[in-house]
Amino acid sequence: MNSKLESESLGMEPRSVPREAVGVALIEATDITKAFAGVNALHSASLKLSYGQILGVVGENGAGKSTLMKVLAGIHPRGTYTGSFNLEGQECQFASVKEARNAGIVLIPQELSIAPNLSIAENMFAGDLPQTGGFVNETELAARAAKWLEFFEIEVSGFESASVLSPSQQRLAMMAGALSRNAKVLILDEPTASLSEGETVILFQHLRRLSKDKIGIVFISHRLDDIEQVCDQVIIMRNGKIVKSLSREDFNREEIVSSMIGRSLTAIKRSSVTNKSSQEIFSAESVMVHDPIDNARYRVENFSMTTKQGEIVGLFGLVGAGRTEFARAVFGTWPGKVSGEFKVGGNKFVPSSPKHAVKNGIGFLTEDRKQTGIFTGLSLTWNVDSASLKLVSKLGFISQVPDKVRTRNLMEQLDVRAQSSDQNIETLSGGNQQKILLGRWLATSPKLLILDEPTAGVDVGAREEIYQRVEALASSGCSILVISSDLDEISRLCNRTYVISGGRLTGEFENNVSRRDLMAAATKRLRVATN
Amino acid sequence: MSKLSAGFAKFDDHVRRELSTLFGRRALIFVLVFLVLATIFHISSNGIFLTPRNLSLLLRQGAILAIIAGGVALLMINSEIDLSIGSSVFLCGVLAAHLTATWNVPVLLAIVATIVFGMLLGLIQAVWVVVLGIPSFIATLAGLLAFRGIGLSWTNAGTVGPVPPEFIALSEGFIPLPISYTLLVAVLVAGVIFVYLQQKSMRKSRAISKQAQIPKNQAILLFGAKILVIATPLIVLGWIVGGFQGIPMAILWVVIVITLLTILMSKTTFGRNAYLVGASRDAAQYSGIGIRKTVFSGFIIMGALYGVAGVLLTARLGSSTPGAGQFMELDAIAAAVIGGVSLRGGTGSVVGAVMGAFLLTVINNGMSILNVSSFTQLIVKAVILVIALAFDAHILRKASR
Repeated sequence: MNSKLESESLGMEPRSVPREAVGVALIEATDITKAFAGVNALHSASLKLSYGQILGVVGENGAGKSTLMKVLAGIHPRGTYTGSFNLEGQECQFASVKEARNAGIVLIPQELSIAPNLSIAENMFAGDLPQTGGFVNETELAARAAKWLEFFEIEVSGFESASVLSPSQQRLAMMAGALSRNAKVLILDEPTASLSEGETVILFQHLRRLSKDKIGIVFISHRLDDIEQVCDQVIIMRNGKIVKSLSREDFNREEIVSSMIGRSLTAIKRSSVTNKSSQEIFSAESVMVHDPIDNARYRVENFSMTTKQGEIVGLFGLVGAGRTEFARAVFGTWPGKVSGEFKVGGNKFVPSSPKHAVKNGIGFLTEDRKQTGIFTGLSLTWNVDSASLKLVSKLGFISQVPDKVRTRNLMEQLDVRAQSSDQNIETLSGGNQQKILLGRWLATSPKLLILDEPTAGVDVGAREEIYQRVEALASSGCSILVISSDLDEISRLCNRTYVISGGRLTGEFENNVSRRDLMAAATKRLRVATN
Repeated sequence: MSKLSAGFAKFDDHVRRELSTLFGRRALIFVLVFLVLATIFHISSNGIFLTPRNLSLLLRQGAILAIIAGGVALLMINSEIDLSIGSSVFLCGVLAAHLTATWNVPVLLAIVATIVFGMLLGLIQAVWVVVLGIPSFIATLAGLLAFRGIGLSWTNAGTVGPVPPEFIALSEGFIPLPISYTLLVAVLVAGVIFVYLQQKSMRKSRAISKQAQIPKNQAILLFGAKILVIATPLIVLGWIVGGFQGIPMAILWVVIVITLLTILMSKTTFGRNAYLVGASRDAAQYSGIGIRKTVFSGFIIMGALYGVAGVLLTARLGSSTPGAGQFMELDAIAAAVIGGVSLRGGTGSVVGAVMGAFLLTVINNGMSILNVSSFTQLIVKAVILVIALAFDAHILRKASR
């Protein structure tokens, strides 16, 4: 595998590569292995990046892309991984992000941390402001900012507040900040996730310019369109390994997709749940979810779907596709504007707040267990009760006996491994916490239960138990919407699956769909509005 | 020690948990600190501190702080704060003084009017915080300034009074001895019945979910422990009351208010939601809990307590004085924190805050008997607050891990 990789990337030198660089790779990482808690997140991964090369990295969520990049950018410090890593022929392993940055490697994350109240220049050069005697040298700062903003054709003064920049300009400004410190390698994590079509084109033009200036670029993306447009070479990762490397002339979407999901292109296993009555429980029509800051942008566009009684419906999409945005819109927690027609149990439903949604029989198991799920420091009973306290209380007083009994029954059903229902939820493992949160929604007897990445961070055993509970819940008549970017999960659970990409519906499949079709739909970027 | 905890491990999980809350680190340390302080004060004051007369005085001194600390604990559990307490209580006190001394309104009506007025002040702050989204730290800081200013303007920074003796009796009066004793016994009986019912409901819930019952000897032990915890303070109170005139009226107020607050926080959906909102606003929102309603109600309840405290303050002083209630908010927050209520919300209890309030009062009272200057008292209080917080941050957290 290694020798193949090398020959391919060395053969990839048709560009005007500067003399001094010939023969030496910009980055050469060999046999990088990194484990989290004994599980290999990266398994002997090797890659090579030459001067001026734009290297695409693709793979499913959890394939190890980010881990590899974090190793390169010093976020995972030396000693926490094994393998060798050379920058311009010199062995170097970084102890910190700062060290990596000084050496010339900068990672620009998917979610930028822009301080909107600071000026553009301050954001660009944060941590490295030009100083004279302890004070910020404003003249120098302005000159530097002007130079790099001009380079990226951003016609805004560096002293304006960063909030005037569009998302793509923000990304360019962060790249400019990195380049001003003589960055040699830019690692871009999902740079196009929040960009419009036009902005993407502009970003790509700039990337090509940088590549002519012999900057090496690593481009992580879920979107194969992006990869095809801009990358010279693509590596495909799966389960912590680099399974394939293709150069531009060999790009083949079929091959990329099948490498991403593994060799088995078998049809999806038919889910055991067959209790599909015809009664519609939930429907959404022409849903538009606006960006909370820029109302003219859409996070979800013209999305329609239905779920029936006893049906488990999948909503498959990659990170940033608009899945969670849709769920939050239904549940009433999306901060931006939402339009469209919703029906629950045949009645019109206007999302306004979680309280309203819960009252109308909707439950939502969120993706972010720590932030929006568990109540830290409180007991299991209290964590289970929070959404359905009314059901175990009379006239505002909690009835102790039914309350305790209900929690205990749920814990038993879900096989929660805990000593007692009075135990602090933080003492449980991730899987058991997730079961408690599922219990919270089971206790509300919902009509529609939305599960957002229900098994993220859950070990394999607990995962299957959660699936079985979800199936039992469906056969009792509840309809379930499973949001997932995990193909195995979708194929294991769902009777029917919608695929969302770039905020739009890109496919609806019965449960005999192939994984390849699902992945193809999820990586498709619709050029023309579907309506 | 290890032998003890090994013996402890054989206990039923529920029994162990209940016993460790009853005799938890915090409660034990409280008792220990009380005993140590009492001994020091008693010896160095030549036997004045531990007399029924002084302790009765101490209870009356601590009553207002206890009530207000209970209220601020409720807000802090919600992850809110109230800095306006001193000014709000002062303003309510001014109103109570005017009602009874200037306008000769009957005492009962004056009490009701003052409490309603306090709720109005709470409502104003609730609107700032909940409707307009101003952080409670700032909104109540504005209250601290404005309510003191209104009160001072209204009275021209003068004294309003004197209030009639029957109004003073609301705080400084005593319940006649026979009735006092009857009340104490009644509370003891009610406590025993409550504990019995609690264990009965425990048995029932275990029977329903087909869990093993608590072994009989352990159940009896738990029962005894709970009775001990209820009876000990009642016996001490009986000794104080018997030695000096009866139950102080101020303490009756404390008992009523704190009992209501405790029931509210531990038995009702409102109280449960307050803890949930305080522990995680986001998770509470995603559970469909009405966060605004919960926080709003919290401020209104706090407002009612301004009224109660205002009545007691004016009654205790015999008139409304311009400096009344100053820094009361800081004492109340300190009491709550010492009593285990976290500024981050979601943990602590009203009873803990009341214990904290009385601990501060013991220190005040003891140092006053010893003629320690009020300046030094401030420093001592500061040191105690910091020690309590440091203790919380390190020792207790380590223990829970």
